[in-house]
Amino acid sequence: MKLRPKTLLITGIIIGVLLLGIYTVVYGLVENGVAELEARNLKDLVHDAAWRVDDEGAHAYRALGDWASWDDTYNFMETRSEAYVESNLEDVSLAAAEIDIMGFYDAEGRTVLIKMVKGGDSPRRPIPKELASLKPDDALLAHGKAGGTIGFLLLGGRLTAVASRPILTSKGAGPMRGTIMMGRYITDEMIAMSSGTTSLNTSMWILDTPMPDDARSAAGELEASGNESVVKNFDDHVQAGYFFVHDIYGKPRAILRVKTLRNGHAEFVKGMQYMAIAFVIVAGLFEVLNFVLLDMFVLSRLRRLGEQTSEIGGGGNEKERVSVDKEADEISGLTSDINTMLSRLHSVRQELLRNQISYNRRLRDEVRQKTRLLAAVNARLRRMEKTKNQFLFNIGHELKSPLAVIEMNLATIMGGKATAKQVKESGRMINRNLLRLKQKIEEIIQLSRFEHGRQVQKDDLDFSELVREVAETYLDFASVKKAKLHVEGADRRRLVVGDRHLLQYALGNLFSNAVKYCDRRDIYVKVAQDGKNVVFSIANSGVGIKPENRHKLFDRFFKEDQNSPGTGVGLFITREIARSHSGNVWYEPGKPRGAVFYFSIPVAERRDMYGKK
Amino acid sequence: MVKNDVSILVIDDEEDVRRSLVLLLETNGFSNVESADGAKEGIRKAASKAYDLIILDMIMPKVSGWGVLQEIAAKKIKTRVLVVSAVGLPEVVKTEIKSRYPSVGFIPKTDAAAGLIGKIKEAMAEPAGTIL
Repeated sequence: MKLRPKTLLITGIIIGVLLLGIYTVVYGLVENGVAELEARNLKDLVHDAAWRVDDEGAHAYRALGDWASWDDTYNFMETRSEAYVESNLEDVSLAAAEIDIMGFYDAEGRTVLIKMVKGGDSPRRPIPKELASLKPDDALLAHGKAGGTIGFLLLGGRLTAVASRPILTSKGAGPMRGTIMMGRYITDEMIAMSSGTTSLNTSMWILDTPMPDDARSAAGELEASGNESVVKNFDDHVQAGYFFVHDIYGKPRAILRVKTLRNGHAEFVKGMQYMAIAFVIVAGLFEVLNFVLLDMFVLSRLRRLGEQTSEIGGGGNEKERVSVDKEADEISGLTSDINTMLSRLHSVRQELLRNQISYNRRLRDEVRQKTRLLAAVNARLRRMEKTKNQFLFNIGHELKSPLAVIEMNLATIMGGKATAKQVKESGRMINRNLLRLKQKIEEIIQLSRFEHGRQVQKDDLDFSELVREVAETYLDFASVKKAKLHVEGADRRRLVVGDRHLLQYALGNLFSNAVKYCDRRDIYVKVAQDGKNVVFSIANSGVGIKPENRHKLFDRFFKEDQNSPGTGVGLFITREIARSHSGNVWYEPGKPRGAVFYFSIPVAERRDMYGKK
Repeated sequence: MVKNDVSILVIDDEEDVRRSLVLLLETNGFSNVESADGAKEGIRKAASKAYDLIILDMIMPKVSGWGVLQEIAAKKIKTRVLVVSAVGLPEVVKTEIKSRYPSVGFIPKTDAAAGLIGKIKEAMAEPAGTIL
């Protein structure tokens, strides 16, 4: 739901509920007030009517005054003369005085005379049994200090206003000769008249006779509550008040009803209708005003803001900003905030972009570097693979070559056609090549041992003796190469600690190389002590090592000429052996030509007889 | 011992191999056997005299057996060539030789003691010629 209908709906509901609440409260309060006012007014009217009805009795009482204090009447009570009756109690004059019944009772309460007045053409009524005989203490006869009784009696089913007075002399002196009473029937006309005003409609019913339901229920209420009167809503427009008419004995004899139009209520309802219309108009105006103001101050600006932000968000220029209006309210605040956010977003985006670029650059450099590294490693691995293959190829040759020599010479000897000299030559060749084979096999074993890290034996050895032994084995090789071996300084005992086997191999390798490349020139071997080391050197006058190859001379698989025989591991193993004995091996060019290889090993420290240093 | 005056040149850089081959040939009746120390000397000798057979080693420093074969082919020297080599993988070398020089024979050095004489006779059955 959009903001506008939502706001209008909510404010509409709120104002509707508010006005309805106010209306209901006002309605309730005013209606109560009106009803109370009406009821009070009606009660006043009811009292008024009651008073008027009562007045009938008072009227009779006043009229009776003349009769009661008239000497003729006083005498009549004594004489009972017919003349008094004839001259004073004529129907016509009594009817004119609006008297329906006259009664005379002696001082003891005995009935003297009861006169039923005959009015018009209607027949004379019989004497009501209620008056025929009274008890001496009857309320009608008890005059007390008031000097008489005023009230109502139900006589022959008709409500009658009655008054009684004591019969005295004209001077008001006694003794009292009895009681005179007067009665007047209350007619419907009298009741109607009694209400006085035209708007009132007054009715009366004798109790225990048929009457309308409302009157009967009101009678019940009055009897039960003991209240003087009761007010009821007769219908929507009419209100009714009820009260009892009591007889002189205090017994309710009739119920009187006074009806009146509910003018106040009608006015009230009309007023409330106007108020409701006014409320509807106010609510409508409020909604319209709300709509207009909401649109003017909020919605149109929000809409504009929304359009601008969606334009910027939908791929517009990100440096664009939403326009801030002059109003200094929350929406302009929001607009400024959006602009601040846009600027912040822009700068964050820029920073991200910069970061991404620099990250990409770093990544690219990293990848390049790693690629180069990998390529280098790969190339190295390939070179290693190649040299390894080359080594395997070479070792095949290196092993097969002496083997073939041995085989061929054995064949020569076994052929049985060789001369003694040839047999001897063959024998020497077999011997030399067996040695070569042994050296090569040793080389392979040592290579694998040094590749897996090897513990060396630690025996006490005479280094000079080792040199002499190895030199001995290479004498024959040297002679083949037309060279002589000169050994110097190996006649003196030089103690070292080490592995005889490994040292033999290392020295053998150096001898083998020197002989191999001696170029038919003599070889000079020297053993000497230099400080704490025994230094062995072997020099030939061959071609020597090219300067550019000197630094890789001791690398594994290095060969100056790839086509030349050999495996390229001899000097590598020799260096490993030197290092494992805390010694060293190095090369120096010969003077004026050739090569000199040095091998050093620490002199064994002197120890006492217990083997301690 | 049957006298055999087939002229043979043994080219090998290893003194012992060279001597072993010469002794083996001489004790098997070949009286006209010469030897050369390495490729250079071998090529020089092969060019200076017409040998019936050249026994050639492959693995030699500076110039290998391949170099010698190239030179013999280039100089159109009329002879027969038998390669006797102690290479690690003889079959590979043999195939290579057969594809490049079909008329050149091959025997592994370790088989020479027993099979060299047979191989020589085999080679000698073919007429001498250029090796391509």
